[in-house]
Amino acid sequence: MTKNDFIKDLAAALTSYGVSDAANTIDYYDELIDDRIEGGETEAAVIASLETPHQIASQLADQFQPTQVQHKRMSPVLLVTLVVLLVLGSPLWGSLLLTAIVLLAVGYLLLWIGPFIGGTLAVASIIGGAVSLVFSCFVTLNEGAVVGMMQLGISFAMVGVGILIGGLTWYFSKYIVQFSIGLTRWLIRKSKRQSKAVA
Amino acid sequence: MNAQLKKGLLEFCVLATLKKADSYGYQIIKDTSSVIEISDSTLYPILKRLEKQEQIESYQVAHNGRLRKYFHLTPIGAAAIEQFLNEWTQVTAIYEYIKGEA
Amino acid sequence: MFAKIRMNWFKIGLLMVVIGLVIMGVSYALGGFDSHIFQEQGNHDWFRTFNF
Repeated sequence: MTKNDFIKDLAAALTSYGVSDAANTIDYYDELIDDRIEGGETEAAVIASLETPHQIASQLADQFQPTQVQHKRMSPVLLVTLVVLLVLGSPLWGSLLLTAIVLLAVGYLLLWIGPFIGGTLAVASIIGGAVSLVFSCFVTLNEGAVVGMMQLGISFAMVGVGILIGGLTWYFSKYIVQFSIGLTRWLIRKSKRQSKAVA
Repeated sequence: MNAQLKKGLLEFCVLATLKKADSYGYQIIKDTSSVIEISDSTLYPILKRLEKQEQIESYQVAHNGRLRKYFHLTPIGAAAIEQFLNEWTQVTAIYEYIKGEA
Repeated sequence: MFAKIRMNWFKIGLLMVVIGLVIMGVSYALGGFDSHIFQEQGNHDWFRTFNF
């Protein structure tokens, strides 16, 4: 394993264990490996002598996380006062909370309205085009070859447009799904931090 | 050496190293290696803890086109060493007790 | 086969649009560049569209 691989793995491990100052840890190992190589050891030997990124991250998580997450116990009097205040203030914070939830819902709706319209258009034009394609032969019989051909052309173009819209919608939806997941995670993290601060 | 005992002593070894002069990770490991062995992955949590307790502070110095993090002993850290040394009489008393001579 | 179609959806879609436009052009040319014959006169009668 090279130094770059080690650092990359370490970064991934630190993130997955939720170690708070990953950047510092990475800087430390980055500097140490460079110093040891400068001191005459080979890159491979240095990496081999270190613990695995997995072990390093799990140890740090064990040592530092519990003290940080420790919640302070609230005194019962304070708790009761807080609850009373919350209930009394509910007309205010209730409506604020409702507004926040509605805004959030609108945000997600706006995010998804594009793919929804795209999908509908794609399905409609593919089905419409296909039906029109089939019926173009009947039109030819009834209205003449020229009109029938025009409908044939229109049907082809419609199916093509449908496929293009469908493909593009699919493509963008992937990004929107990722963005939605990211947004949701961010919100959850934010609310967790908030509750921690309150506690 | 007993792991628990070693863990307690390591911190003061690091502080003592920094008392002589400001130093960086690799140098600290090398300097202390004559008396006690600190592995790379044990030093980092120690430095992190000491910095959080403001016993040491860090600054960066450019070296060979990269940055090196130097650590400096603060008065709080110096006081911690003093306190440890003062507690040693107590430790020797315990030592005698364990030995069965007290 | 199916995978190939899925991979080339963009080309296929584009090709169909182009074919459609060409056929429409040809049909328009055959009709003597007269859009009159393609226009629906009077109310649309769905039985004319779906004439079995």
